[in-house]
Parts: sequence; structure tokens; C-alpha cells
Amino acid sequence: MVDLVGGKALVWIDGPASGAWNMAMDQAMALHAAEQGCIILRVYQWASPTLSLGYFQSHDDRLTIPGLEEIDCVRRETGGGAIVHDHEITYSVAVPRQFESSMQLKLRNVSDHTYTSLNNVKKSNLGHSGALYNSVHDRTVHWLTGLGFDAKTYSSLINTEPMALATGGITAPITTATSNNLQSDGIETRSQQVAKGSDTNPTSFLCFDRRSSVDILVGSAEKNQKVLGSAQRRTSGALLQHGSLLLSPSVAVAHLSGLDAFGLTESTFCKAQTLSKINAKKWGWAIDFCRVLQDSLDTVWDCDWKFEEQIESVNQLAKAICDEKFGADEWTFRRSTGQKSSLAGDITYPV
Amino acid sequence: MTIDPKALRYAATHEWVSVDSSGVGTVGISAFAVEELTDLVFMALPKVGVKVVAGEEFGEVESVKAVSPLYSPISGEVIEVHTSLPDQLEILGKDPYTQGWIMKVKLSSPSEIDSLMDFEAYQNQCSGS
Repeated sequence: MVDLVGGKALVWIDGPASGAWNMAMDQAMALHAAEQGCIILRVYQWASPTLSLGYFQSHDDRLTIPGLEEIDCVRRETGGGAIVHDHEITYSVAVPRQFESSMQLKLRNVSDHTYTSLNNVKKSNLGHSGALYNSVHDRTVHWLTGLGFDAKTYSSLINTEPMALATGGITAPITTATSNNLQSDGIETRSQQVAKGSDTNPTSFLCFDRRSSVDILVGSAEKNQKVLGSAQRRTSGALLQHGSLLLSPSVAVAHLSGLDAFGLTESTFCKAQTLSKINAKKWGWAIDFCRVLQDSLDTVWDCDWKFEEQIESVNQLAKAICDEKFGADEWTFRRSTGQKSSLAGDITYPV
Repeated sequence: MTIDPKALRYAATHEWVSVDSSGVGTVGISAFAVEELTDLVFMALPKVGVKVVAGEEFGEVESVKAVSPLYSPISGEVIEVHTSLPDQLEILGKDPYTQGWIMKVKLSSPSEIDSLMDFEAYQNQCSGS
């Protein structure tokens, strides 16, 4: 155990853990990143098939898909659709708030890349960071392409222009203030999506049945699978982004096949005969994916990486958050169907 | 009653407040914030009776690919909440300063208003000058 103070960038790969612990660790990372002024990257797995609900989703809605009621459930801090975490590699990255301006400035100077869409970056730290999404996802597309997959972002699959975004668990309202303006960071407004008729299952319960402009898909326009989706959460001091790289289908949602359906012959998890084989291959993918993520962040910050097994202070923080928040039924089952406008403030959670 | 954005006070985190003669502050988010957040999808608001603190979270909003906190520009007790707003978030795009109000707060520290920005200072912040 190492208690690190003031490192610029930390990275570690975690073994399988519960949903509550994984979500608590992500939040602890964001708090630690803000406090210490360092970037933190973590790649991790799940101890058992787990359904993670988007922050505003109703837990009742999981009953609409057979099989989901039987698996573990946790509520994320991030929005969007629910995810069945099973045969996947998951990542999270926490970026201190003050690092964002340098990210935007640096990306402006990257000319030989898709970052050219970022020449007109957002004016504030409000809402999503398209720069961080694009940094991670573009590098991941490059990596998967090198492995022989026909990988691309949803925006490039459908159109050469920045493309549609399907966000909500409901029909998302369109704000007049934004509907007349193209997003400058490659992430389009919902109104543009509607106008182009490319709205792909915006109300699907599952994240991997939805499509947003930055999602990574493998396959052709006619037959494809979403294999990487990410989401962000802002806190007062940091930006958290986490996402799932889908490797193989879970028995709970067999129609979401991930990379397995597109030539993952050397790492076919469901066909592996023993648990040890499955786990060994997951670790291999985790290590490779972690390097890709480091590269994507190096593009922006030239990180001085410190590899850690565990950081005691972050562990302690995560344990407290896990006990009080993500492991508590009050948190997981706080929103039921019809509570679209549910109120905050009824339960106090560490943030 | 129509609220004039030029008569409001603003927090650096883009919330506005209008204080009436009885010491009640009406709180919302600025047009700039609505535009930057992009396509609001969900909003969670406080309950009536909750104590809010200046600079601390009072609610949350989900927009394009991100969940973000809302920060109270003032301290006090929430006495009224625009409970129908989360079901018609398009109002924020049309009229964030009058129809788009979020909550009303009985101020506990009225002098906090003095530390907030006026319209001109807030405009300068938004333009980066």
C-alpha cells in the first residue's frame, strides 16, 4: 500500500469487485484527484454480472427485460442507460477541474487528427467534456482498428459530420438555446439528431442499445454492435469519466455481443472452457486497454505515470462511500417509475 | 412578473438570484449555462424545507453525456420549488429568467448577495474577459 501525495498521474488495474465497490472507488478517485491535483486512471472488472442503472433511471424499469431482476444491481453517479457489466473491461479516469483548460488548449494544436472538430471548444466547464470523450474514444478506435476490427465512432459510421446523440431514458426535451447551434466538440444536440432522422433507440433502457456520437461501434452500417460507451459526472473539483468495453455477451443480455461477434477469436470468453482461462484473457485485455487509455491521456497532458497497486487513502474513502451510498438500498432503489422529476436532498450522501 | 437578467446577481457557477423586499431569493440558471449544458434531460431539485448553503449543491441536472451539480448562490431555507420544471425542461431554453425559475429561498444571510456578480461582471466571465 502506498499513500501518494501530489503525483501527477496515477494508474492501476483492479481485479473483479462488486458493483457498489467499483462505483464507490470511482467516486473516491474523483475526490482524490480534486484534492491532490492529479489525474487518476483505473481499469477494472466485476465480480459477478451486475446491472448498473443510470443516475436518473428507475430501478423498476429493469423488470422490462427478463433476467435482469436476478442479477446484482447498483446505481451509478453518471447518467445514460443501464449497463450489464459481465464480460467487459471497465475504465474510469478522474481529471482535476483545473486540468480541463489545458486539455482544450492542447487539443486545439493537434492538427493531424479528428480533434480538428475541437477548434471551437466549449466556453466553460459546464456539462460534458467532448475533449475528454474524443481523446479516449478516438485512441480506442485506432487501437481496435489495429487489432483488425472494423471500428469507428457512431458519428463517422452514419455521417462524416458530427452525428446524432441519443441520451435520455425519456424523450429528451430540446432547449431552444441549443437547438440552433452546432456543438463545437463533435457531440451533437438532440435536435440535430431528430432533424437527421438518426435517432437510434433513445429511450432504450440499456446503454448498449442506444447510440451517441462518440460511441464506438464495430461492424458495418447494416450490421454493427456498440462495443464502448462512456459517461461523465462533474463534481466541484473534478470530472469523472467511466466506460465499458464490451468483449463478449452476458447471459443476461445475449443480444449484445460486443467484440466477440466480430473476430475476437483469440479471446473468446464464452467459449473458454475454464474460469481461469476466461480470467487470464480478461487480464490481458485489461492491460492492453489500460495502455491505450494512458496513450490517450498522454496526448493531452504528457502524464508522468505512477503505477500503484492500491492507495490507502483512496481505499479508505471508497470504503466509506461504499458503505454509506452505493451499497445501500436507499441509493440503489431511490427512483421508481414515474419519478422523472424526483427531488434531491431527501438523503445526504458523501460527494 | 418578468425578471430582467440585467437586474440579477450571478454566481461564478452560473446560477442567478433575484431577491425581493421580503428577503426571499428566487434562483435559476443563466441562459449561458443552459446553452453550454446542452439538451437537458433530467433535473433533480431540493425539497421544500431543506436548508441550502451558498456555494454548495442543491440539485443536479443531466444533459448531453454528463450529470452536473447545481450550486446555490445563497444560503437559507427552501420555501418553494418549481416542481413541474423537470417535466418541461424546454422552458429553460425559452425563458430561463422568469418561467424557468428553480427554487425560492428565505435568505439566512442577505449580505451574501453582495459577493455575487452583477450582470456586467457575469457577462465578462462568460466571455472570458
